Amino acid sequence: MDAESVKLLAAGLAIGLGALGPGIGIGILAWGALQAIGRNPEASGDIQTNMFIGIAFAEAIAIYALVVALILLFVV
Amino acid sequence: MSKLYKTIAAIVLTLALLVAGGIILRFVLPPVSVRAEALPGVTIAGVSFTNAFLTALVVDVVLVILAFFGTRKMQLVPTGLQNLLEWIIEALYNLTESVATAKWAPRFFAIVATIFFYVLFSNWFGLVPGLAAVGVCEEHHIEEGEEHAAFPGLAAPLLDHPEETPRPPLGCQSGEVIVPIFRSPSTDLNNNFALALVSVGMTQVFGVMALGIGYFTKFFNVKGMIRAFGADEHGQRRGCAGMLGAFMFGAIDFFVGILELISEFAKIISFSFRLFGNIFAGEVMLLVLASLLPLILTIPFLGLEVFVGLIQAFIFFILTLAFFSIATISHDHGEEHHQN
Repeated sequence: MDAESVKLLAAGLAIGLGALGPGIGIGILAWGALQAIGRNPEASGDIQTNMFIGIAFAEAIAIYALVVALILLFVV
Repeated sequence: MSKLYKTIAAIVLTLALLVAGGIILRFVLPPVSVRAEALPGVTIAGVSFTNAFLTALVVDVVLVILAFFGTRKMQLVPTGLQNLLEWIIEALYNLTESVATAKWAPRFFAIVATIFFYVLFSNWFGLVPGLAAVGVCEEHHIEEGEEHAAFPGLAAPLLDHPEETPRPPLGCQSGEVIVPIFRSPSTDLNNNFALALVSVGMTQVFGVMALGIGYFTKFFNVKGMIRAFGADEHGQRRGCAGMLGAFMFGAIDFFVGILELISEFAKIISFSFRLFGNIFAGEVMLLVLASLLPLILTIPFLGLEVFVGLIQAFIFFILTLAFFSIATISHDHGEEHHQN
């Protein structure tokens, strides 16, 4: 394998594996939020807002992986 | 029975459209550029004028026109455009007040709502069908570092056999690519970086406005380490071991403060790349889907992208708001109250 193909492989692996954890995390977040809304529908507005904030933080991890993948593809 | 015929007719029509789309509309995937392309021949003071910047100006003009016509004839009982704008603004303001305190909500709202509208219209501007095809033909010169990039797996089959690729009737000549005049500002990292800088910078400004210069003790927290050499909470001098223990706790506080400082810079990165990644990936996905199955496959995903654009604008709005209101709350109060 030459350096080019390793680079492509690394970029794919970086974003692929990096998206695993945040995916699970966002799933757990939405699961908890939906359960909470089901139990207390009146609080759905507050719960949704906080859920979005939590999802954004979980998603940030995937974004770091995306940054690494983009750097591997275009900079290194 | 007629229902069955209708179903069959719908299926046949769909298949016919699929086949026709595949044959007539040969969609050649354009090279994907992560960078915003410079518009040829336009430079301002030696700096190239990118299509994303032009689109940002257009978005600004659209927002100003909307605000102008929405507030031109103000009525007590609003109708039409004024009604729509008031409904949106009111919903956003109620959300702002529920997150921030009543004192700070009006000050936050001006910045936070501006960010929301700008990001929303930026995201949606890239989804206007056909806009990406309007552009200037330019020679496709492969830049350094770009030659292996631009999604080689997708573009390679087209570039390998240039004689086999059909020339679109309205397209550019072979060897040339379209540089679109308009490109969603959210797909240019510079735009998102500027927005993130505004967001994080204003967080510090509001923090200093609320807590004075003491706001920065959040980042450089030496209070605990200094306090270790003074009297303890009962007013007695500490022994040697007690002093060391208190100093260690102070050191931990200092380290947490440094982490807080690092996370402030991480915020800039995650703000800008979140928006860029979501919108850019969405547009590339639409292009790839259009090249797989033209005409039909893109439509549901276009709807998805409209939703993603709204959600990303909302996340930028709510995160900025949350960081603002966290910065204006003194976290020392809780501790002091606990100690007394």
